[in-house]
Amino acid sequence: MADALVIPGDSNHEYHVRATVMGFELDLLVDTGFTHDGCLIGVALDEASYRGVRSRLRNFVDISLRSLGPASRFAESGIGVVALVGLEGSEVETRIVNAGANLLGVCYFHRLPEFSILWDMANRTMSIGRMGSSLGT
Amino acid sequence: MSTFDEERARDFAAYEQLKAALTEKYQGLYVAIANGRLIKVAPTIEEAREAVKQYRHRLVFQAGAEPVRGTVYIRWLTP
Repeated sequence: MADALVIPGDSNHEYHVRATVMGFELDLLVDTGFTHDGCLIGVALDEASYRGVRSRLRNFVDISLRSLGPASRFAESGIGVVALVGLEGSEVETRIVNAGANLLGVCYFHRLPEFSILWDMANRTMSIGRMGSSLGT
Repeated sequence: MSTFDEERARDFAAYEQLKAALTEKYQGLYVAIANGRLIKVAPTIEEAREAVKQYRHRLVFQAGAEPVRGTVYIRWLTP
């Protein structure tokens, strides 16, 4: 376990990170467009991944999802624990929604108030770690 | 005709009125509220969801859990 983690951008300029969702290891896309006004939902999963972890979630609630258009739809969510693989102290309890894609949203990161993210544009990496760690913040 | 926001406000008002009773009587079961009233209590979330699928706004949740207010925004997801 390290106190900081480097997330490299890929050839599509996307940032993917390995995470465990209730013990299942998955690839999640860091998506700063994925938010919730109450900041209760930190992770979205595609149907297959959601079905895989569903039995380990609790407190199921359907929630309203909205994309670019005005229409909204409802999707199931449950509470579970999510952590970034290899990053010490990154366990977060958050709602996980069955929303058609594997995404790590803003509200996951907002549950880590002792951490910061350094986005290195020249090297196209994101680094996350505890403030005062080897991240250099 | 009510707006979506008005329907949502009605459903959450109904939830607030029913909250204590739902938790006490139906803990662990699934609840569906729509049109400002309790529509269904069911052993599975699928059954509860089915009972209110015709309503534009609805609350479907496990009794004892707090329904989630607000909207999740996923910018790029196809509607």
